[in-house]
Amino acid sequence: MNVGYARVNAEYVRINKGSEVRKTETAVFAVTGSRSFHKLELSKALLRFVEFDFTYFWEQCIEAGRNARKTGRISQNLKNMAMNALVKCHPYVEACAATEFADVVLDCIIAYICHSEGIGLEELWARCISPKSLYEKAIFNRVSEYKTGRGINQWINIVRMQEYARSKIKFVYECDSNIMLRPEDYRTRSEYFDLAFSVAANETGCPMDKLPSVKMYTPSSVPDAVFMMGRMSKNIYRRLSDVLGSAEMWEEKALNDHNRDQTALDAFSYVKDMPRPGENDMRFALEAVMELPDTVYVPDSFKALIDLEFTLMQQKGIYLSKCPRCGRFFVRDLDEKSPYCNRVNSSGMTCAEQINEELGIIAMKNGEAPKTEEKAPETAPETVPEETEEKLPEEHTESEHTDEQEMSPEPTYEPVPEEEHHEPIMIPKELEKRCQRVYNMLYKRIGTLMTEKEFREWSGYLSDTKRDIRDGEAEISQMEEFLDYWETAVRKQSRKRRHKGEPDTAAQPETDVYHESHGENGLSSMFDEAVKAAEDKEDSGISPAGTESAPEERSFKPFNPPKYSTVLEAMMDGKYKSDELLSDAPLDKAVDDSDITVNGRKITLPNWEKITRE
Amino acid sequence: MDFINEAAAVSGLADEIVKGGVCLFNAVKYIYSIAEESFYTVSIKDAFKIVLNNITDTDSLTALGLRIDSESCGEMLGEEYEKVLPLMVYSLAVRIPVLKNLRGASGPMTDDQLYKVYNAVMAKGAENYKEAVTESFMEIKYLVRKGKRLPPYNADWFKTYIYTNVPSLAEINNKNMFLLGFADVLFAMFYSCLEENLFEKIKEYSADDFGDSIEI
Repeated sequence: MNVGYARVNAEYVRINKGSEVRKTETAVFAVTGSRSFHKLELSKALLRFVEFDFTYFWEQCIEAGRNARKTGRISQNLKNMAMNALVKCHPYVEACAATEFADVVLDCIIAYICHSEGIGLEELWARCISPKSLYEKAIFNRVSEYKTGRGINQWINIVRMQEYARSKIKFVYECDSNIMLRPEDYRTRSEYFDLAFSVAANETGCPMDKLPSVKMYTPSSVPDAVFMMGRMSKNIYRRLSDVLGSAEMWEEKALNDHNRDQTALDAFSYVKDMPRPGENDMRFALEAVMELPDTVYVPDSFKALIDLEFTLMQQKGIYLSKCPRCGRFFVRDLDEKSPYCNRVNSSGMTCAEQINEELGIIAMKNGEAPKTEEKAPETAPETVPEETEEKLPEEHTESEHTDEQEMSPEPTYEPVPEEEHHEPIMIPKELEKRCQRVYNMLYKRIGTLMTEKEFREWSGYLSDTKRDIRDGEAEISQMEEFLDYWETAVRKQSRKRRHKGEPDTAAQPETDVYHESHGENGLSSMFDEAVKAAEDKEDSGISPAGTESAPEERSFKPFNPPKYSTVLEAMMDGKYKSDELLSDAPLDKAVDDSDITVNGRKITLPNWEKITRE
Repeated sequence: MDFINEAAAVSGLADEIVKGGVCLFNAVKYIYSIAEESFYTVSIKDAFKIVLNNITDTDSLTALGLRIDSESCGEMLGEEYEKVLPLMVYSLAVRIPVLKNLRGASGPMTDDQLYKVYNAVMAKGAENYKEAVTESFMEIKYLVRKGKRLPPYNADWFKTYIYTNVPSLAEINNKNMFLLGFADVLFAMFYSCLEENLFEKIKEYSADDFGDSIEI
């Protein structure tokens, strides 16, 4: 019987080099085909899953497929290696490794064959209809399961589930500014997301009652309670053996909404006169019960558990935020002012430490006492609704510049006299759209028209100007002038690239000129120094803070099966034979074909016999 | 026709025919079980494809989730229905003279060779129980020798046998009507594939070089 148990516990775990202690909540659950407890660390499991890189698993699967083609069967060792790489992605996958995900390696191989051969499942099935090896038979059986609705491609399911979790995290927790919203805002976003799913499901005719769901039980009422609480159950049986020994066996018949109560009460009739047990038995029961979870959740699918984690996180006051430096989500307290995460990155420091160090360098250059980033971002909760209205496409927007503006040394900041204070101005929607358009254009040109650092600088300036306009401290014409300039720059670059057929570097000096000429308006000299300091650091061979890789790249290495934009893509790039897993070539001349070298590793291409049939 | 080893050829061909009969017998059961609980999940076309691509082995049908047990095809577990197996093998055995249509450099199979194959099949348990199969070895042999068109292999004898000997399958219900419907198609297609298979087997056993073409 399939049972899932979960309980929520409060635990204290050390995070980030032991410098900080954060409270984490855990849940314990069990799933179909397993009578074991599985721990679900709220937020940690989710974050690990959305950031999980499946490349290694994928490579292992391809290796297993290649080997199976040679030997005629999937090597259990290779399969186990691949599974070991996969199960780390989420506790649910680990819990269902022997059941739901038992064939995920084969699923992955099937997905690969279909993709690389450009064939559908139907064709693959037809090719394997007269299997000549256990490997082909396994493929045939698995595809037959897909065809008859007894199974799905779990590999594709996992990848899609990751995409779902990412989307939901982004929808619920990503903010245009690096501020924490109110709990009710997060809850509303979450509910909105779920409702949108329900609307889509309803409109497309999905049977709503059959969609993923979680059941909640007490330990003694779960379907497998008799086995999960075996010792207590035996004691009870011993007491009731006389009555139960002569009981009539239940006749198998369809249980439905009408006879469910009747059936349950028929069973109850055998225990209705049971007296409370003695003190010893009760003490024994107490001990057993105290070891069990208070609440038991039974997810009927992966999505159900992902959704449950979101729900429990919010119930327990766990909220996520996106680190503006590394672009990864992390757990952030509502009253936490620093938007930077405490994860150790490739530099050996956390993002928070890096920003502090960077600010320290700048302050020392200016002959000031080092500042800490905790002082930097501070946004009043009242500003939340206004901030959330603004939709900028990427995360490098207002918030970053807010931080950087706060860093500006005093001398460069000229306070506006009170008498010059203007009434707040609403930015027209057309202008907002134009901002976004220019933003997108420049974002696409990172690396050609400007560097990533310059883009961040630029986006900071843009959002700062917008804020100034709203506060009445800048005019719309300034913004228009700014946008005009950059639209012209983009056009120029496009024209030059068209003519020369190569990336235009001429735009680069213009950027600097612009910065110089507009420096007093918005871009603080301190920020320029920060950039310079970072560049100096780069020259000295130390990776500057936040420049290890683009935040988006680092946060989620996108793994998109139809495109295979991973290491494997390189493997397949002209060298990797697409028909390697089901090829036409005879088996005996496999080794002689051609060898390829992938990442310094020599791979001998086998020639596998293609299955044909008439 | 000259065989590399005539005894092995006779035995191999007889085996192939018996296996074909058993496969057809099981295939009918498997496909019949679709009507029990897989009517909307299993495509009968897929089942046919599997059967016709695995003429001597129906195990692959289990990949579709089909099973032969008292729940899914209890009506076929009776003693009377079990007699269908020797009948099926017999119905295939009487068509052995058709193998004469394959001609090698040393000529087609001789009457003696064909008869030996027939006897070997009969020795393996083929039986015309209650004379259910109306065709006979001699009749088919005559038609082949005269170059006349053979009547297509069909399920008429099977249906007649069921109507008269297996009441549980003769009853008019959805499941039984499904059986009678697919049997007609399956038998004809199955025989066509089996015949092709047998020709291939003969070429394997023959001492003649057939190249890529088959002379019929």
